Order: sequence, then structure tokens, then C-alpha cells
Amino acid sequence: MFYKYVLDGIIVKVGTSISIPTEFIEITLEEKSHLESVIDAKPADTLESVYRLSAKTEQYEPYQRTYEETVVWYVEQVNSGEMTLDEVPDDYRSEVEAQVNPTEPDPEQAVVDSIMQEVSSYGY
Amino acid sequence: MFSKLGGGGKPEEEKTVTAGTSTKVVTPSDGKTIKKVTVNPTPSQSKTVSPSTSQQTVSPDAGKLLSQVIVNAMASGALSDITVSSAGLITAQVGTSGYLASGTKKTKQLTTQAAKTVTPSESEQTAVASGRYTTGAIKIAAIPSTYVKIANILGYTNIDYGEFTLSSRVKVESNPISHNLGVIPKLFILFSESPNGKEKYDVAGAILNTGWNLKTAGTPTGENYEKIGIAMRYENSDSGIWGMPLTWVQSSTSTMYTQVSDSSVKLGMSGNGYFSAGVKYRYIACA
Repeated sequence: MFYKYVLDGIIVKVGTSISIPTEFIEITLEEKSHLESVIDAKPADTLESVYRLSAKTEQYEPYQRTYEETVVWYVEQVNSGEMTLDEVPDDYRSEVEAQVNPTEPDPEQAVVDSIMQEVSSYGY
Repeated sequence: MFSKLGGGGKPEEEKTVTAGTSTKVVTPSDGKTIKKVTVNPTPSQSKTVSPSTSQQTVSPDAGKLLSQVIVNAMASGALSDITVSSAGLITAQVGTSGYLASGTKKTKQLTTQAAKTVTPSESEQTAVASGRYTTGAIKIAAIPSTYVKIANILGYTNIDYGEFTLSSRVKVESNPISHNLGVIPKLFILFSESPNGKEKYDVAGAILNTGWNLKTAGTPTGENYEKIGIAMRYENSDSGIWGMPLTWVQSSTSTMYTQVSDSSVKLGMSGNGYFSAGVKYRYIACA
């Protein structure tokens, strides 16, 4: 079964499933393919706007970013090297820094190797 | 005119009568005797009738005899063409009332479907087209064993799977993936197709119930299997996909996010974990 999930007038996602929850809307394969093609051509979000897929027009429309969405945008810019953390406006910098540099570091390879050795000793 | 005198000195007369269908008495006129009576035959008539569905009695008019009864030929009847409605109702009827000789018939050849066996595939198939009369059994073959390999190998019979594409970038925590198992999955695997460089940290992962024979390091604890997750994080790079080997990653807000219920699963890397817009994700849930 093919479906679209609409929330607050926005098509959040389209998909395929054996059965769909009641809050999803069943659509045809043609409708799904059409929406996927629209999604493939999604305009790039900007600092000012995020583009969301309108359920009414089935076209992307710009929405003003929330504070959290603005933080996300800056995180992306820093992670991709488009800007440095210092270039992030003061209002957002601390939030951006927390997401760009997680407080918990990734396990080092030595830790991973240790865990792998322990697991392999169980004989599985 | 003067009448010849008959016996007794009375004048004679002749009379003429027409026979009917009942007795007639010819008596002389007063003062006369009858010399001769001429009896004309009873009038006759011919009648014509046409056959009907009811018995008919042909009678002459009063005072007449039937000389002949002409029975018209029966009209010839005709059968209408046989029709078959969309609901399969076959109708055969007489179109024109009349005589139908023995053996009179109309036929209609239905479009038929001979016996066949259909093997399930990923594509929809039509076993019997609409409006066809089957002349043999239409069978649906058993699901090929390769189709049920997951259930056979893993021993799960309650399986759900699907795929989805998001229209906008969504945080892992904000995208519950629905399933129809009705119970908490024992196995849930999420696949991401080609991030296309859209995300540095994209979503993929698996949740295993420790009831399955995969030992994880340490002792999993926590509700909702938050700490029984196995995650592989990957990012696009020139060297291809980099990822941690499958191991047990302790849940924390910055490494692993899992939340399962009997109707949905949230899975992925929190903090930096996002579902990308326009990327197709596939999942399989088993119990």
C-alpha cells in the first residue's frame, strides 16, 4: 500500500507499507511517484527559509525558520566547512557548538578493538 | 291463383322450408292441404380461428352448420440473443412469440480462462481477467521458499517492512517509523539508500532483542531497549563508507537514540542524527 503522511497541512513523507496506520492517507503508485519527483526537486533551504511540501498545492513553499531550525542550519554550515564556529551569530553559537562538538566523544579505535575482542571470546 | 282441389275437397298447397338445427313442423295453411314440402338444406358456414394458448371451441352461428373450420398456421417464434450481465447473470428468452420447433436454440460463447497456476511475485498479477468463465482451476502457487527466507532463517513469522521518503530533513526523534507487528519488534533494521552527501551523519541502525543469539558486550539495561541497540554510523568520504563495526553502543543522547513500541520505532543517531529529505529509507521489523 502506498501512503502519504500529512501533518498540519504539510506532507511529511510518502512511502510503501504492507498496511498503513489510520493517520496515514492511502495514495496510488502514480501519486506517490509524482510526490517523490517533487521531493527530488526540493529547493535548497536558506538561512531565512526552510521549504516544506504543502499538502494543498503539492509544491514546496518557504517557511520562516524557527530558532531550532536556524541552529540546525548553522550546524550544517560549520560541519560542511562553509563557515567557522566563530562566524556563527552570538545568539546561536553555544547551541551550534554543542551539536557540532558532541559532549561525548566517539569511541576510540582502541575501545572498539577491546569490545570486539571481548565479544569474540564468547564464541559467537 | 286457383289451387287444385285435394282430398276432402280442400285446395292443395306446396310449402318450402329451410332446415335448421332443430325440428321444424310444416303445417298446411288454414283450409288447405299440403301437396309438397320442399326442404332446403341447413345453411352452413366456414369459420377461421388462429391458435392461442387457450382451448377454443368453434361453434356455428345459430341455425347454421359448420362446413369447415380453418385453423390458421401458428406464427413462428424466435429466440433473442443470449446476454450475460456484468454480474454474471445469463439471460435467454423468447424474442418473438410463436412456434419454436424442437431443437431451436441460441448459443453464446463466453470468453474463457483455462486452468493456470500463478506464482506470487513482487508485481501485481491478474489471475483471471474480468468477465471470463474459468474452464479449469485457477491456482495460486505457494510462496517460493526464497521469499520466506528471512522468516525461515531468523525464525520470525511476524514480519513487516516498508520504505519511506521524507519531504524535509527531520530529526531522528521526530520521525517514528510505524510498523504493524502489534508487539515490540525483536529485530528492526533500518537501511538508508545513498545519502548522496546530503548528511554527514545519516541514519541507519538495527535493534536486536537479546533473546536472539547475538551477544552484546556488557549487560543491557534500561527501558524500551534503549541500551540494546546496535548502530552503524557512516559518512560519505572519498574512501567510501566508514563505520564502526557492529558492536554494542551504550545509549546516550549523543550517540544512539532508540525508542520502540508495539506500533513504531525511533532509531538513529541522536544529536547529529537526521533523516535526509529525498533519501529513500527501507526498514524491516520482525517479531
